[in-house]
Amino acid sequence: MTRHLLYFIRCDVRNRFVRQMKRLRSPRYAIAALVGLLYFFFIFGGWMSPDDAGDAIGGVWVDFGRAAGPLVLALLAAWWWLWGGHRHALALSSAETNFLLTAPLTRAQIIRFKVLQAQPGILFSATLASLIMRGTPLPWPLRLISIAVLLATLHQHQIAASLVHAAAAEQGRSGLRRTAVPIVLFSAALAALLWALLRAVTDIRANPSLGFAGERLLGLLSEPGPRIALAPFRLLLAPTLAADAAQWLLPFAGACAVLAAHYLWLQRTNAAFEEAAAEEGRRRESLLSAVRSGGLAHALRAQRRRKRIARPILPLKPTGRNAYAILWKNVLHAQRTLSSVRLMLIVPLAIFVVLIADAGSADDMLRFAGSLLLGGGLLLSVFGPLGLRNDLRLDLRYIEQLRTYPLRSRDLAAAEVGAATLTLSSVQLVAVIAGIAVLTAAGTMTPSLAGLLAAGALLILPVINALGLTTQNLLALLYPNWVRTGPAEGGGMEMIGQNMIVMVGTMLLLAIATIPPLVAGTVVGAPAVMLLGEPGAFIGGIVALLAACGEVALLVLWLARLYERTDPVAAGLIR
Amino acid sequence: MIRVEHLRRNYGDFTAVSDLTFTVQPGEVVGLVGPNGAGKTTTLRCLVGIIPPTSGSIHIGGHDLLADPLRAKAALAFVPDEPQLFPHLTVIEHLRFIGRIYGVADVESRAATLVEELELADRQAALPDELSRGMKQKLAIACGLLHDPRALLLDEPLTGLDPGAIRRMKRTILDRAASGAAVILSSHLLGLVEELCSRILVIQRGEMVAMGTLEEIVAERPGLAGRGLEDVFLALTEPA
Repeated sequence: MTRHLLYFIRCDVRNRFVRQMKRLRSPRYAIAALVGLLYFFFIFGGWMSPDDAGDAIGGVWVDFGRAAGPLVLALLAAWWWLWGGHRHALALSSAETNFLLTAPLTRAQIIRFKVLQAQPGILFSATLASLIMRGTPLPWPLRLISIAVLLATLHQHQIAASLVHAAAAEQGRSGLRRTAVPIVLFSAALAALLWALLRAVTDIRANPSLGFAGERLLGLLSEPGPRIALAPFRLLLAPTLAADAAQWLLPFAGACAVLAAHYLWLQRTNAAFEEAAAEEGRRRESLLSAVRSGGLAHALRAQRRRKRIARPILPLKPTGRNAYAILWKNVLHAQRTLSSVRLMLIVPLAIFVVLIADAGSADDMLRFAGSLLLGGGLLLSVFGPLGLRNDLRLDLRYIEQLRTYPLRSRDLAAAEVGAATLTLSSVQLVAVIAGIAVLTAAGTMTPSLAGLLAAGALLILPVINALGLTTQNLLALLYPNWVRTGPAEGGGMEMIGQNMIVMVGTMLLLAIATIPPLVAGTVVGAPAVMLLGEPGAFIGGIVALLAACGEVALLVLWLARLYERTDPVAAGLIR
Repeated sequence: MIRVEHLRRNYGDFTAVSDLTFTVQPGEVVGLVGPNGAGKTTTLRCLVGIIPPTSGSIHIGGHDLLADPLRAKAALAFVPDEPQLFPHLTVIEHLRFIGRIYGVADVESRAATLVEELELADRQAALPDELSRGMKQKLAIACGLLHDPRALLLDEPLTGLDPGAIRRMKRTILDRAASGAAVILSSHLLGLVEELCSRILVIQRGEMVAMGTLEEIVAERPGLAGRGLEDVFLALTEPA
C-alpha cells in the first residue's frame, strides 16, 4: 500500500472522529451519547471483570459457535453467493473516482485501499461484538483481534462472492467462464451442505426430539463432504472459541491464513470481473454496430432485457392532495428497488418447495409452511422498519428539493410514513393472511378464529408498523449524523456496529412507545372484563388500538414539527 | 415579484448574509454575482425556503415566505446548480410527480411541450442514471418550468448544457421574464449575466456591494467608465 493512500485513510478516520466529537457539543447529541454509554455500561459493564451474566453469555456463545457457528457462516456466505448485494463496497465515490482513477495507481492498489478503508468500521463492529460476547474464556484483546479477523474475512468473502454473482448474472458466458473455479467450488460445497441438511430433516421428522435433532445434524455435518465445506468457517471461528491464550495462537494463525487467501481471491476475482465487464462493453459496442447496420430486432430484444422498469402500482392524477405525490413516489421507489421484499417471499417458498420434495404428511407440511409465513410476516413488524426506507430517511437526501415544494409539513410527514407503512403492511399482510389460510387448511385453527385473526392483523399490524416507522424517521431527523439517510444499501461487515446501535435505539424507543396503548387498554379493558367477561377484552383491545393510532398521529405531528424546524445546513444534510 | 428586506443569515457566529434588501419586479432578470463564499447560495436557499433566515422578510408574488410558505412556494421554482432528481422516477414520471405537487391540471400537455422543447422527448422513459449531466440539468429545468412559476430562481442553470441547449435556455429565461416572471440568475459566467440580466446584484462577504443596471453601477464609480461587467465585478470584489 502506498503511503499516500494510508495517509488518506488516516485523515478520513481522524476527521470523521473529530466531526462526531464536535456533534457532542449539541445537547441533543450529548444526551443521546450519554444515555447510550450508560446503557452500554449497564448491559456490558462486566466485560473486563467477568461476572455471572457474562459467563452465561460467553458460555452460550462458545457452545453455539462450536455447534452451529460454521454452518451459520456457511449459510450466510451462501446467501451472498446466491443473491450478491455488496459489490458497491468496491465502488468509488465521486472524489475517489476523480482523484484515484486518474492517479498513477494500479487496480490492485485501489482494491487494497478500499479493503483497508473498511477496516476502521470493522474494528468498531468487532469491538462491540467482543463486548457482547464477554465471558468467553479468552482475554478481551485476543477476543477482539479474533473477531476483527473473522469480520474482515467475511467482508472480503462478501465482496468477492458478490462480484462472482454479478459476473455470472450480468456478463453472461464470459463472466461465467472467468469465475468458473469459485462457482464450481461453491456449488460443490453448497450441494454437500444441502444434502446433509435434507437428510437431517428426513431423520428428524422420523424422530422429532430436540436432542436427537442436534445430535443427528452434528453427525451429518461431520461427514467428509460437509466437513470439508465447513472447514474454512471452522478455521475462522476457532480463535474466538479458544479456551485460553496458549490455545489461541495456532487457530489464530489458521484464521489469518484464511484471511490472506481471501485477500488474494478478492484481487483475482475483481480482475476477472473487470475483464468480463470490458468484454461485455465490447459486446454492447458490437450490438450498437448491429443496430447501425440493420440488426435492429436483436438489439431491441437486448434493450428490453436490460430495461425492465416496472409500471407504477398506484395511479397518479394531476390534481388532488399534493402530498399524495410523495406517497406515490415512495411506493414506486419500493416497487422498483425492494429485492429484499421479494426475497422475503422467495425464501419461505423455497423452504416449502424443499419440504414438498421431501414428501411427508400433507398436514405437517401445511402446518410448517403456515407457521413460517405467519411467523415471518409478524417478524416484519420488528425488522421491517429497519430495512425498509422508502420514507423521510430516503428523502432527506433530497431535502433541498423537498423544501421548495408547497407542501404542509404535516402532510409531508404523513405521506412519508404512510408510504413506508403501506409498503411494509402490504407485504406483511400477504404473508400473514396466507399463513392463516394455510394453517386453517391444515386444520390447526377454525375458520372463525382465522377470520378473527385476519381481521385483527388487518387492524393492528399497520398501526404497529406506522409506530415503528415513525420512530425510525424521528431518529433520522433527531440524529441525522448518526442515522444513515438515503436508500437502503446492502450494508457489509463494516456497518454491523452502527446497525447494532441503531437497532438497540429503535427497540428501546419502540418498547417505550408501546407503553401508553398498553396502559390505556388495560385501564379500560380490566374493569370491562370484570363487568362484561370476554367482550370486555375486545373493548380493551379497541381502546389500546385507538390509543396507538393517537400516538402515531402525535408522533407524525412531532415529526412534521421537527422537519419544519430542522435547518438542513446546521444538521449537516446539505453543505 | 420577489421582495427581500433586511435578510440576514448566520451560521453560529459566522454571518453568511447580512442585511440584504432588494426587489425583483415581474419581467425582470436580476443577476446575482459574487466571489466564491460571498453568500449567493445561502441567499438563494433562504429565498426558496430551504433554510430559514435569521432575520428579515421575503415575499414571493405578494406572499410572505415565512408566514404563508405554501402560497409563496407555489409561485416559485428553484433550479439548483446540481440537479436533484429522484433515481427511481423516469423523466416523464418526474414531470407528473411535480405536476401533482403543484396541482398542474394539464400536466400531460405541458410536459409534452417541455420535453420537446428541451430535447428530452426520446428519453421520457429513462431513469436519471441513464441521462447525461446535461440531460439531467434539462430535466431539472423542465421540472422548474412546469407550473409556470411567477418567480424563477436559477443557480448556474447552464452547467452541463451543450451550445445549442445554452442558446435555447437563454431564450427560455428571457421568454419567462417577458411573460411576467421575476427571475434571479446566479452565475459566475459574467458574460451570461451581462447578456441576460436587466439588473445586477453584487454581493461580497454576505453584503450587498452594488445593485442596479451596469450603467447605474458604473455611474456611481466614474473610474470604471467604459468597462465591461468583468472589470466592474473585479473592481468591486477584489481588495485594492
